[in-house]
Amino acid sequence: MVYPDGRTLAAAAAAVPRADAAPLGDGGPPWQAPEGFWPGLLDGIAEAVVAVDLQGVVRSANVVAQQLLPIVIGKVVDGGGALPEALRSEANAFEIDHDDRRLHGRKVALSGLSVWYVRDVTEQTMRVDALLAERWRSAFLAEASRRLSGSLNRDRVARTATLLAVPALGDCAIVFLPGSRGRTLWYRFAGEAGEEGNVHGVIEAGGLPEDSPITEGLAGLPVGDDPRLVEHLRWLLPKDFSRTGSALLLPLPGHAQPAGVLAVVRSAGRAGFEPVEQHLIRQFAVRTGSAIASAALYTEQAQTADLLQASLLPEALPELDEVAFGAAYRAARERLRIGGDFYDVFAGPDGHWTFLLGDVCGKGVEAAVHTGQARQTVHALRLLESRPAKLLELLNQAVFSRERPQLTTLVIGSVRPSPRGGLDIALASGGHPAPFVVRSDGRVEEVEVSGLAIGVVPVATFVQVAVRLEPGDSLVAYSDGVTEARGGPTGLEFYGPDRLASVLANYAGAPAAAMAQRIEQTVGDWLGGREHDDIAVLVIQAKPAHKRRHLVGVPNQ
Amino acid sequence: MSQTIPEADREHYMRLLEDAAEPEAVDFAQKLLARGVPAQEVLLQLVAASQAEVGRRWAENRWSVAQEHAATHLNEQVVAAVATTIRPAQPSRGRIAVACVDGEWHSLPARLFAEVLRLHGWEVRFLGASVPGPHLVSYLHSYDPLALAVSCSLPTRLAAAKRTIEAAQEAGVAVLAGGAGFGENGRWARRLGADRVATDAVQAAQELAAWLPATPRSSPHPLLVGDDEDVMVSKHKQSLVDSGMRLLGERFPALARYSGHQRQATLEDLGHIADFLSASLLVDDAEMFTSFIGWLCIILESRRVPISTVDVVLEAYQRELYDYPRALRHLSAGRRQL
Repeated sequence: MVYPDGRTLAAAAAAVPRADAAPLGDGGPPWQAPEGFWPGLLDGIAEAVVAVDLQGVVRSANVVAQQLLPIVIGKVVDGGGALPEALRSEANAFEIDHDDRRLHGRKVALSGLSVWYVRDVTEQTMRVDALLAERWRSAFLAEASRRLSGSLNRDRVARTATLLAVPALGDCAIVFLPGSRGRTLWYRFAGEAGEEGNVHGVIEAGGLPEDSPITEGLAGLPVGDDPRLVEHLRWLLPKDFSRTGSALLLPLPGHAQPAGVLAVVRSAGRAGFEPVEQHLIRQFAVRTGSAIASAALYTEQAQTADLLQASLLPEALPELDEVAFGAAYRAARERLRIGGDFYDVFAGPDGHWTFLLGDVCGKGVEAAVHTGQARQTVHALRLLESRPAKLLELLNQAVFSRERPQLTTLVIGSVRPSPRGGLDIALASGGHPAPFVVRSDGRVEEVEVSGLAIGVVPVATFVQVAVRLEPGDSLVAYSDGVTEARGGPTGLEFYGPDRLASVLANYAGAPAAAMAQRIEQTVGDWLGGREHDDIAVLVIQAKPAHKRRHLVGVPNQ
Repeated sequence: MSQTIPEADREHYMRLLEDAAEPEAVDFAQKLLARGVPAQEVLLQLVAASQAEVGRRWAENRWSVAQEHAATHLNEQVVAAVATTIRPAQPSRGRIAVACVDGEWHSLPARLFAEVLRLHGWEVRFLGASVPGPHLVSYLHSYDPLALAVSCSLPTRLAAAKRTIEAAQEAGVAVLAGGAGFGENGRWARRLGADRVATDAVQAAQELAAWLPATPRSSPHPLLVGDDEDVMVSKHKQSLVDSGMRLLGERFPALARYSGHQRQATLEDLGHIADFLSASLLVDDAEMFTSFIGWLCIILESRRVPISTVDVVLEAYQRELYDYPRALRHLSAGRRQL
């Protein structure tokens, strides 16, 4: 025992005033301890005190010691077991489990004897253990929540759940998820390393017996204690998992319907599931179920968006002998990579090619849907009409036949290889920024073409202009997302047509694709990660007559 | 790696790049394949090696940026042609996504790595240049690759790389980092928390099988250095550049007679210095800054710009950043370098 001031019992006893010490109080006779006082004092304390001599014989022991320890006064401490060995040992302390009690011993050498002070710390240890276990469970659930909610992919969430469950909750974990057409998907982890660590598979419809607890769990029925559970799961366990102990099956609660089922299996060497552990696994299952349900919802939406996107993304550009196309497209910074800008290149009936680049007012899915309509309309109209100005006129009428005409700007051009080399382009614009022509010698000209945007007035006519591209010249159409990109040093300045023209001048004669890419890149750098509108660029280049293209060298400084 | 493509062939290819002779270059690569040269060697010894030479020629001011870009484009076309000629049968290994960090436009190294992975049997999704973070995360959720290979060619994109690495790991996807931007042996990638670093395409492609599937680092990243000096430098980039221009104007009156183009180039250089300072503060490595300054001097010398201008700019930045001890250390190291 240690007194509050840090002294040991022996030191405290030695400090009690002896008979010959200075008188106490008001000078009365010195106090002398009566017969039996010291043993009585020792008997009164809660700690077991036992003194053992060099031969291992117990010389003195208080009452507590005689009750708690296997000793007899005057006899040698004998017998096997941890405790007698500890009392005979040279060590100065021990902590030992003896008869369901946790004992803590501390030795003090006193007058040639070993005096052991032994304390029963069972309750205290249990309290500390319980606290640590509770802390561990909270930490486990916090970590599980964090890792489960990180992913929005159902497969990955299921796999993560099995990884988290082993070895924390059991020695093998299997997650079952309902698949399409009555199938059941399963994901297993049993602590193996490497590629085999994470095994998954598919059970075809009807592959599980009607009364299987897995089927019942997936159907949302409560899964009770089923003594045959291990038998139901055995075929899914790794081959070396021969000695199976207890198993637990829990439904994973989802949004309004079960998200899946979790099975946790322990090997024979490990204790069964205590109530507190069952509670923990249930809480884990709730978190897993909620993460899986969210991921399933996300997947469904992402698939819809993918379908929409696939139908709206521009098709691959054609490869022609006389014309090189290049394009860049960057949707506004939204997860959905679709937007209001669009471009298209398609073959006309009589050897010419039609290209268009446009911008439907608005952003995101709504704009994308209108984009699709506009493109489909042009696709249909081009079968009847190939002159760009007329195409715009028809498109405008078609737009006004809808309930809510959507404001759209676009340029349409019809490209025809000229017999004397180069390209002849007929061009019309519906309220769209005028394209640039980049000559192979580095001159940059803005095409003079203008017109009302589509969807402004029901009957509109458009001007058509002719553009001649000599071999190596390019026509660059772009959306206002390029010139109205706000960024630069202040973050407020527009990219502007002048900057675009000077970039293009440096890229005269470069391949069409490289030119488009360069615009995308300089605008991206200009933006410096800021929000932006959809960006679309389409380059139409007259291929040089000879296949080798010599670049115009532009010095840097 | 032993060179199986003769020197003469590589020189011939370089000339084709110089002439921007796209059809000939594609034909030439395909002829090599037909001759039995393994696709991997065409990709690495022809394309990757010539691209490094393209960079050198630009740095020495022998090629314009437009020429560099045209040659890069041509190399991209050759990679695409090689990839379609040698299309491995059904992928035998898992899915890996390859992406360039946001703001990173040099997609050729990532593209080459993607093709090498494909040749080693991996199912590869190449997401392209400058993939915005939200797009990437949405891709990772939808397609659940075993790993994300993230490419960064310039240290100034490391802040974006850090965000990408963290976002992928948060989505449960392990990250393999590669590219010159992560420094020698990818040391800055490790500092930014990447799960693994690729320094050699072939070696990485071989080692991936043993590594994957892998669980990403799950613990949140410890702050590299908690002082935010890198953030502050990039936030105040404009006022730094302004102060540099002012001091340059005082010390070099010739600046007033600069053409618009020269002025623009100077502004860009000052911006680069600020960007590299911010990056070197992010990974807390002054050597990144000093080696950039060394490289900048080579570039400027080849363009006949006096090196003393760099010292003036660093001095101006020091005055501006008097309150930032680490930035001052990096700037002093940069000035000693001169």
